Amino acid sequence: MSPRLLAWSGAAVVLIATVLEFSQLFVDWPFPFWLWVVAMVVGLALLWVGLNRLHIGMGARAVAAALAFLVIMVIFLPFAVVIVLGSLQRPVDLLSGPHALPPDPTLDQFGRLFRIAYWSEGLRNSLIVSTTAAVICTLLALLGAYAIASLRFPGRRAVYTSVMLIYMLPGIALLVPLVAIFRGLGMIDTLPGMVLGHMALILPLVTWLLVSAFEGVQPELEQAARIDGAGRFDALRRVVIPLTVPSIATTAVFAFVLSWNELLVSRVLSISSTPMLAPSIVNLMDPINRVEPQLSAAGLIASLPVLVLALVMQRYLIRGIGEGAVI
Amino acid sequence: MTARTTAANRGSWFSRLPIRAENRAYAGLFLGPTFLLMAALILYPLVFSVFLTVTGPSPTPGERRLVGLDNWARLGNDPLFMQSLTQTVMYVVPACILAVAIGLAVALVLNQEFPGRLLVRASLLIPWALPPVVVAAMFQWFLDGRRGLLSPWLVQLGVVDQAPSFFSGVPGTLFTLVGIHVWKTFPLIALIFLVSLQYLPRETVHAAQIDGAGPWRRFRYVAFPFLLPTIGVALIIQLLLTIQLFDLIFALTGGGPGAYSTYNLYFYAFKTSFEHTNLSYGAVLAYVVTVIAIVFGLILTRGGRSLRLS
Repeated sequence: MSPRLLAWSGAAVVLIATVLEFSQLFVDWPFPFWLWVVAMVVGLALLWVGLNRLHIGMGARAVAAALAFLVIMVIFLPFAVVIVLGSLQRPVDLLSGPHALPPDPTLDQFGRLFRIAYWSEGLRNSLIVSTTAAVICTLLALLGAYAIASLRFPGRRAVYTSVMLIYMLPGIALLVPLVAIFRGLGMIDTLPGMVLGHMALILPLVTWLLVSAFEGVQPELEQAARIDGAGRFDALRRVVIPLTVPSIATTAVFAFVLSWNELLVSRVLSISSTPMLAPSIVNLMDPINRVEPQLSAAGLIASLPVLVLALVMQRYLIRGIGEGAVI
Repeated sequence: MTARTTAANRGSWFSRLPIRAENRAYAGLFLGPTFLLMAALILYPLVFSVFLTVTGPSPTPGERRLVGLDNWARLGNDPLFMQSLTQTVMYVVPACILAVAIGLAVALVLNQEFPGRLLVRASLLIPWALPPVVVAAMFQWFLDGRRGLLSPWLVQLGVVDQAPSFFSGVPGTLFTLVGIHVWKTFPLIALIFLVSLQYLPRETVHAAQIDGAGPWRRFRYVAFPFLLPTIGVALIIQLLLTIQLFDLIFALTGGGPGAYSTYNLYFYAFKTSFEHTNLSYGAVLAYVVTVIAIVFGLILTRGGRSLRLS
């Protein structure tokens, strides 16, 4: 059998089986699931063998593309169908059974959502708290991280190790005593208290990431500046920071995302007057008052900032995550 | 005028000090703000929580009574503690195996050259970036027995005969949460493997290919031994993520159904501290979580070092 024929028949088997399998979502007729799985395995194998005989490595590429499509579907499908398309449905559409496509798309739920006081306040508070906490922590940690990374001083090793240990602390270990302390100081349910709580959460991460970033700057560059007469502060401002702008921005983004997504701190440090985003989404999930399309609209709005940041900074975020620096 | 004095004049006052004293002065100055914040927001609370664990509420409001190690001793005869610990293991084991296996497979796929590879790589960031509560809300509707899309799809596609129920079984609900958690975390694990694979020497792979090794053998005898330290790292990272699993439990089950069937230690510590307002025993439980996290975290930094060497 010619390799070309093998490859084409493999592709045909994959395609036909997939069309048959997924057409069942629209047409009711029996095509067993196991048959589709078998057809996929056989078809991809034929494709692999055929393409490999035609050209080294082509088979692996085609199969990889097919599997990557599966990964994309697993990632996008729930989000697209439930959060994006779901937010366009009307609550009455739920009565006529689950719909993948909204029968009568409308933006109504977004308007209704913003009439819920705790939601719009929560969104506003989260924007304020996450931005403030991320910016303050990053700016303050610039100096501290620079000292840990490039200055030689007694106890440096100990500081380094403690920063690492603090970074590993689970949030709850910090939050239990923090709540007790904040209660004593009357800082529960206040916006400054919320900012401080979020800072406690992100400061270790920010410090740790900036230390790693500054360690990557070649000491020679800084020494050259120092020989030219720059003080430590000038060296940091004119040499180290310009060289690490992407890392600093990435750090701030990591801090913002961590704070934005945070549920536990926001929930525990707030009683009624400082609603935050994540807890208000949990409120919307309450089984008695739940309106699914409205919840999807809320989910879409809550996801937008982090998705935009992830898209813009993807190169740097992927590197930071891939190196195991952020979990 | 010599270069030295010019330098000293243009630099700050500290530059006049001998180099070691100068370093110390700057270290103190630069570390100051970070240290103060960490001391106030992290170190002081940690010390305070030791105090919490050895005290209990006292009859006089606003004061605490010393109770010694009573709170710690309570761990020994608390069945819910044992149940939460067991269930933590029930979360961790499948979550680690699934996320690492799927993550590794996805990384191997994405390590191939094919059109659209960068798009897939970028889309891995989506589950990572989404707020956990949004993931919870999304799967709550998607997996709902009556209103959700997945059950009818599974029936229509012939995967199952009867619509499965995802949020009512014991211990099935726990494994539903594991599945959602894996959906959220496998991209992170895949990215870790993907970065590690970039350091896999191409020559070795090519040499194996020329010697006639097929894809399986190339994976088994070239890529797999190379990735072994990374697999260790990925397992521990997933373990750390899973013992701190909270948002999904809080938003989706609240610890139920049945008697605490989806509690893990972290959630139990939360419930005890903030819903039963027993900060003392809550702090003890939080310490247990902390000890586990720190022990595995330290193993991880060791593993991370050997990773960087390879």
